[in-house]
Amino acid sequence: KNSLFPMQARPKYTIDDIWPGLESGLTHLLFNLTEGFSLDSHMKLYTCVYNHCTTQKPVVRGVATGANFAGEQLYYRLCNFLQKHMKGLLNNASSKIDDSLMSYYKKEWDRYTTALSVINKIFQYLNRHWIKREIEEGTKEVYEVYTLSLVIWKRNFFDLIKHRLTAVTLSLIEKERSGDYIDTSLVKGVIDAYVRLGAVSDKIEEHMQVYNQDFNDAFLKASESFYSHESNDFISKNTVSDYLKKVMKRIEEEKQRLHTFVHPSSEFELMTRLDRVLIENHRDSIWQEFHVLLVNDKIEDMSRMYTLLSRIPNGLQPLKEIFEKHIQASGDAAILENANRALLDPRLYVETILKIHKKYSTVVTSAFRNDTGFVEALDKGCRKFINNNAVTKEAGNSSKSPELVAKYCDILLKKSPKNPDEQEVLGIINDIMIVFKYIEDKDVFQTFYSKVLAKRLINGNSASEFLEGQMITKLKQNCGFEYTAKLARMFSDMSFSKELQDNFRKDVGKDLGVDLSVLVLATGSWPLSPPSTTFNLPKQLAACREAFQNFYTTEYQGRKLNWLTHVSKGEVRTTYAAQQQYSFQCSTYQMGILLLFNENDCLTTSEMQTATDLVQPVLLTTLASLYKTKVLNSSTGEDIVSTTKFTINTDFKSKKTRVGINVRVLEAQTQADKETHQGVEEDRKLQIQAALVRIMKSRKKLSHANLMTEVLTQLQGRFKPKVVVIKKCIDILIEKEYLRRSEKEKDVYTYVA
Amino acid sequence: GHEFIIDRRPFSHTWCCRVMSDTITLVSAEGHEFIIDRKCALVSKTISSMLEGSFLENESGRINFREISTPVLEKVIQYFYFKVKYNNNTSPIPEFTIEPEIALELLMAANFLDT
Repeated sequence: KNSLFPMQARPKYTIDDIWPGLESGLTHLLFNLTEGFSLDSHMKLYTCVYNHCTTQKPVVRGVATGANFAGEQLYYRLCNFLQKHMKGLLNNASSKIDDSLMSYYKKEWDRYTTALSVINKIFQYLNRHWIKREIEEGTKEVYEVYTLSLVIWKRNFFDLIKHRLTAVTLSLIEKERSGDYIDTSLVKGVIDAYVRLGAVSDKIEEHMQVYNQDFNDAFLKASESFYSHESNDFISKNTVSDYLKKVMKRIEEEKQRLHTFVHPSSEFELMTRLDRVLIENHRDSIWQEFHVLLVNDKIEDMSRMYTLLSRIPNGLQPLKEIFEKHIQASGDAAILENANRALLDPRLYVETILKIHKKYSTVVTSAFRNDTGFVEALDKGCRKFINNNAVTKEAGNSSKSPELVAKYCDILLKKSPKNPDEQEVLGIINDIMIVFKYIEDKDVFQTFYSKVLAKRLINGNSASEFLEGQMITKLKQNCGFEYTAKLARMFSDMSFSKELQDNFRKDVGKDLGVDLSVLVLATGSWPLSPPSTTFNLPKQLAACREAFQNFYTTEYQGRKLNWLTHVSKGEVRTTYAAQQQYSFQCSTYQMGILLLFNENDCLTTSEMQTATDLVQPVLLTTLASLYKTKVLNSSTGEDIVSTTKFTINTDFKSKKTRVGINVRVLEAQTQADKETHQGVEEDRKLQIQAALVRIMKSRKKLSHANLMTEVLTQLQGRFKPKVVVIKKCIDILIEKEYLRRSEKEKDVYTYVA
Repeated sequence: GHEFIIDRRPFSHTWCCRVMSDTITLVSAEGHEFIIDRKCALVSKTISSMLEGSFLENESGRINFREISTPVLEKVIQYFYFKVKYNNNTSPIPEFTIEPEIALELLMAANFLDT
């Protein structure tokens, strides 16, 4: 009866007793595993190992440190067995080349590792006892059976063929890169083997060592070299656009390769080298091409360029600079093309700007994925050409830009059959706000806008209250409450005036014989100056004025009304015309002159001057407008002198019954604009001085350079002050004794309390 | 709960199990066949490593222990079930009694089976 008791009489289990059976079992596992391996055989072999290890006397070396285990002889028999197997493999492999070497290696590796996982289990008793003890005591070159098998494979087979094997593997990969089909599972299998050979080490950091040293280094070098050659060759024979396409494709393919058969740990290093070789080494050529793509609107190509240059350090910087310059140049060119017309046509001016902005905004979105650096370049470029272009040069003034933008707003907000519907106008206003954002001289815009708004309100010309309100809201959002405060007050004055008028009409107004409207406007909020001339009001109007004056001062004692006759208007009806009667919408000054003809058939210039008490320039302008509109005949035609005789033109004809004759002469307009600009300059000087005082009051002492910076920063929301002007203002303040130059330190100012 | 019914008839010991499907047959040196839950057999590392990746798939799970006597094998199997029942169990674990006559053999068997 068999038993596990070592003491009882049992067959011997020396190494020579058990080895033959064991060896044939191992041989079967190594070479014939496909035929199957029964549980019974497994148990038999396991028992063999067990019996040997439990019955044999252990070899004792040196000091015995507790129980010793048998097993050394078995261990080295196993080693020899495996080494012999390796010799056979090496022999067979020596004659194999190319793919066949790889196939042979993979096949043998798979077979070997599968067999050894079973063999490891069979030798488990040895693993748990003798081997474990040897390892604990630090004996070198003793491993658990599975690890041992890998060590033997590596030393006796792999290390001797690894250079050939790696070379063949790399050439297969190169073949695949060149477009041929290869057996990727073969490559994957071989590479996997490299990785698993690394697992012989205890330390986890060393697990990829075999892969890295014996494969990866060579792989990366070969990849670099391959792509270096390919890219140099390709770029010399093809356009940059085609090159970029190729690079995108190659990078995608390499990513795929990494997933399919190369180990993913190579990814970072490989991609870094590819970026260097494919992109960085050719960046000059790529950068040079950018301008061409921009000019030709090649969105797809630019998008590709962006993607690829994003991968290398500082790849995009030159693009941003080129982009900014190009936008500025395009904007300049577009405006230059239309410069002469745009100077006088606000709509054309703004639309030209918007076209450029929209075009390059689209490029930023579609080619550069809204990259902040490119958005910034767009802003910088737009800012430059919007504030400095052919139109501003011709006007001799960078403030021409905000002036035109304000005037375009006026065109849109005025009643006109040419204007589109409300929603569309709102859309255009939103676009205008884009341009507004870039305007540096926002104070100029404000000044012009309030002037044209005043005219719209006084003349009742607004297309839509909703749009007027929207405009104010958007300006407020952009520039703050203070910027739009005066404008808002203008609107409230209008509604207050309406209320006032209604009360007046109910009260006194109905008895006047004249349909009278009065707008009462708070002096500080409106950009209106008092009349530049005296004027004798016709008696009908004088009565009206008195009536209203009484009405108002009764309500609001202590308030003074200044009548702005120069912006007032009215309507007169003819009684002399041949076929039909006309209604003339005219200015009050025109009315004054026309009413004179109720009592006179013919009047000279100087006679009219006496009667109306208008100053010469105003009289001449008014008479010119009456002549141009064919309401009056002039004895000297266009050139009006003091002796020119005027008569009513009884042959006046017009298709309309109501005729507007209150035409503005162009010189007057240009002159008015010039004055507006001058006003802005004066205003700015005061702003600068106020800022200087504010800054110095809080800082007490400041260097010239810092003071300049502070002033520029404080005022940048409203306008860009010129350095020369700031210097002048500093001198003014020193004269006025607000500031003083420090005696001890150079270029330092101190505040004088 | 689990009912153990020990039938001492020779040559045929059958544990009544909860589940009759996944089973393994362990055969003692004398030829007694013990049909047990596969799950319980896996308590032995030696048995479990043999069973994983078995290369003869259609072979019935049958292992011959020519060196383990019947009473010892029986006790070992008792232990397998004991271990499975009380593993990760929070209720108090009863003592697993071992008759002194078989203690040494049981120890050797445990060593052999890596249990």
